[in-house]
Amino acid sequence: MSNTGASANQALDVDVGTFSATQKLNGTTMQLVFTGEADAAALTLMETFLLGIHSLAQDNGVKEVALDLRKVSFMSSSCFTKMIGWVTRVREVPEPGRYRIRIQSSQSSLWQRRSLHALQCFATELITIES
Amino acid sequence: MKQDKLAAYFELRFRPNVELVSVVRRFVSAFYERIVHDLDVTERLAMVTHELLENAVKYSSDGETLLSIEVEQVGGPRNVLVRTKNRTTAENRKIVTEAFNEANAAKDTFSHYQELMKRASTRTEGSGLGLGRIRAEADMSVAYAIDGEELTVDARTTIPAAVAS
Repeated sequence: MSNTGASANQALDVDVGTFSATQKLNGTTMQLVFTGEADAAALTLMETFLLGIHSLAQDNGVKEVALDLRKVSFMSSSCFTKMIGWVTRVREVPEPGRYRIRIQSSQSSLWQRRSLHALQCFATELITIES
Repeated sequence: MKQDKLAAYFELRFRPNVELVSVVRRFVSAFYERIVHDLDVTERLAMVTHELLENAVKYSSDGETLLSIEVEQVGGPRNVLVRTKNRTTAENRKIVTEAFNEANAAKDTFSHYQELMKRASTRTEGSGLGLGRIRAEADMSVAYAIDGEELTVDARTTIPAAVAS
């Protein structure tokens, strides 16, 4: 199933007040922007969002997903687990259909330096961190 | 006397839920900022407080948790202790004991964290990452004690001496 319509794409976006996630599909690249605090309030919607993103990326032959985390001030380990789950799902896709993940991070944020380093080590072949 | 060494002390007894944990994290962040004057240290301590409280919510049998934070100074560097105390079931005490035994047996903190991340990728409930994250990302040592039904978890670190402002 192809899912390229703007309204269908925007339907994935989430906003719980303290956290929001948006996505924009542009050909074979996709831009995700997370903003706020990723904690219990964001947990379920973040998981749903990342599941939707993965399907959308596969349906549209996406080659790269750029995830902007620069405006995320905190992420709990529960939410971090949802990111790990997403990365694991991408790894399980056979190579021709697999997309790379490029994470835009803030060097001034300690959680981003530490957690994203750990995430990159978890899937070095898949993840690039930019700061 | 220990009290003479205390640069700052904070204690909160409450019934946290997952939403309240974030409220407390923001509150203690302001407390840490005033005490440590270092953004990285503040972020580390706030993250550790959040992870300990989320675990307390998960493992408490009656919902009540005591959070205490101590900053102790003798001369130069300061010792920081973040402690949670709550009652737990026998089953949860066993889970916590096993998690600590495994963490303490691990030769390398970061490799152990990577192993926990691998397991977390298939979990549907909880993360199982909190303890590993405190050790690997916040560079804090973690210990636990069980007294009857009461579980105490301590996270400790040493931070640089306060900079005169």
